[in-house]
Amino acid sequence: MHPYETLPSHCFWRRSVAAVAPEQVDPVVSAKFTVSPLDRIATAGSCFAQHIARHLTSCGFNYYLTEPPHPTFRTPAIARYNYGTFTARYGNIYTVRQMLQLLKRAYGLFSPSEDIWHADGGRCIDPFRPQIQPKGFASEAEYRADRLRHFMAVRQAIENLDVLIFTLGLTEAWVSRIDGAVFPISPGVSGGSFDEQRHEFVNFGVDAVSRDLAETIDFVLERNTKARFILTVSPVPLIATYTGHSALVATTYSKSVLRVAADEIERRYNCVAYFPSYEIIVGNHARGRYFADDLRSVTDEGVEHVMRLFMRHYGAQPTTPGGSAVPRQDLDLQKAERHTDMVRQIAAVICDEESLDPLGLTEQKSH
Amino acid sequence: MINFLSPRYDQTLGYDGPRRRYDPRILADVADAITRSSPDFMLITLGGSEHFYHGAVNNPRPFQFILPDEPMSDCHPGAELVPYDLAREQFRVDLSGVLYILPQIRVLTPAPMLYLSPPPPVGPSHLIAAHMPPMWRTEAQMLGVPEPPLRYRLWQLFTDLADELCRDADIDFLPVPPLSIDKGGFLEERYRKDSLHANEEYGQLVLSEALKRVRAQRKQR
Repeated sequence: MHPYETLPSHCFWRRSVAAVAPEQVDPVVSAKFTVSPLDRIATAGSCFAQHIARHLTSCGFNYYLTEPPHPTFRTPAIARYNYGTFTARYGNIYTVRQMLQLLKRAYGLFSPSEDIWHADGGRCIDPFRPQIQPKGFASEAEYRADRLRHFMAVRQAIENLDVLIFTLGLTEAWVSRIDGAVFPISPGVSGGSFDEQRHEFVNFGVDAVSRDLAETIDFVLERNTKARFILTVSPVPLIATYTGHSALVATTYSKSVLRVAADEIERRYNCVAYFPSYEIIVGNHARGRYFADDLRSVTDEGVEHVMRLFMRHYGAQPTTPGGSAVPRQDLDLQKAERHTDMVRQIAAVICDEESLDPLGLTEQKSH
Repeated sequence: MINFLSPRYDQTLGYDGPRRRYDPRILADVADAITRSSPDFMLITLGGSEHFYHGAVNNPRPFQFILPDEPMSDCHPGAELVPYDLAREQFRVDLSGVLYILPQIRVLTPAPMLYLSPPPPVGPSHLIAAHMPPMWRTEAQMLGVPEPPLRYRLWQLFTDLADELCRDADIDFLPVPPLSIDKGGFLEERYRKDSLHANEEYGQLVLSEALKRVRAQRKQR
């Protein structure tokens, strides 16, 4: 008799990984809580979180958008403006410190000294969302007005969400030497300019990430006691490291720190669960096939495996892709189309009246 | 003169996506008129009410945008801010759906062509509300008329886009006569006709500006 004899299959490598068809591997085992179709799910995190956000609606979940696109503006170009990429238009949040900073800024508790980057032609870049729109903001006035709206959307999300899925991406970051403000990417890459007198590199360790993560969760809970959290670690490797190590070694460090911090916090809070999307994608069972040719991008097949297990374990009731209800976005779109048609007809009526006028040069209409 | 809105042409063809469907007889008639009269120059007024589609009645989800060179002071607290670049991209698609016929007209004659800017918007909101067709009055009363700053911004943006599309089509763009603009950028009261159009006096002003432009171009040549 020994302690392992009575353990369930998932505790054994052969039974749960090696001898199971790759697409059937399920490391979730059980969910700490379930998510109902009515629960408002907010998302934030690194680029892998975008996959989760994109699939939530099609999986029948209530993907919570507090900064949705305006339905009148539905040109295909809108995808480049990051509406709906995450719950609010914060763009990728790579480090936990960045997430905590966003919350503090949204509530007016921190104002970074370097809060705008000026570009050519009077255009402005948001240092903390440098790629939120293709060419930055058209003017400083627009940037500041947009940021006010964005912070309002962040506060609305924090105070009303039921579940926050937060994907931890990186430990490496560039921060301000002046006030510790953390930038999503190095100044100079997508705006601003790098200055070693003002900017320094950091690689957060387990203690710092755990502390920031706990503070983030406490911050949300103070404003929304019903909030629950699902932590995931992005399986996407670092595109570059500034540590001097190999990108492979740096990736292992970074993901390990994030994984350990997620585990610590998951054990500390009843309202926090860990969802193993990292393991599903990079696990040995996948034999690397969930990565595209660049060995970084996650394939649709990998994302599908992640979402299938998410639905299986976290869905409170069976959901069907697409669901039966008309998504709010579609209703908005219909309303906007009706409105545009109506006003187009008003203009047409007024113009029709004009066309009844005699057509002499001095009497033709002026447009 | 070819009036695109003439009952002679089928006005019920609607839209193909963002593109207005024109009765093919319109272009044929323009070509025919050019052949018959060999014009020295052509004046074009096409579209021009697109700003009014968004400026006549408030959107159920009111929006606003800020022009690149204006201060923030006129931001409307209840209206959703849309990035200027996005508004520009969307409205360019919308306006291209009307003005795509310009290059087809351009190739019909080497004569100079002048596209006349739509007149500035009418400032007072109550004038727009008063000229609403009866069948939409209830909805318009419910939603209200957009604030003047949005109507000005819409006109300015659509005008800039028309200028840009004309340049693409090698057609000269004639801006509104400075005399016709009041201090706020709206149509001077004396030139108003209704909630959208300018009057005959404005037309004479524009014609005089157009003739000046054409003469100046001739001198250059």
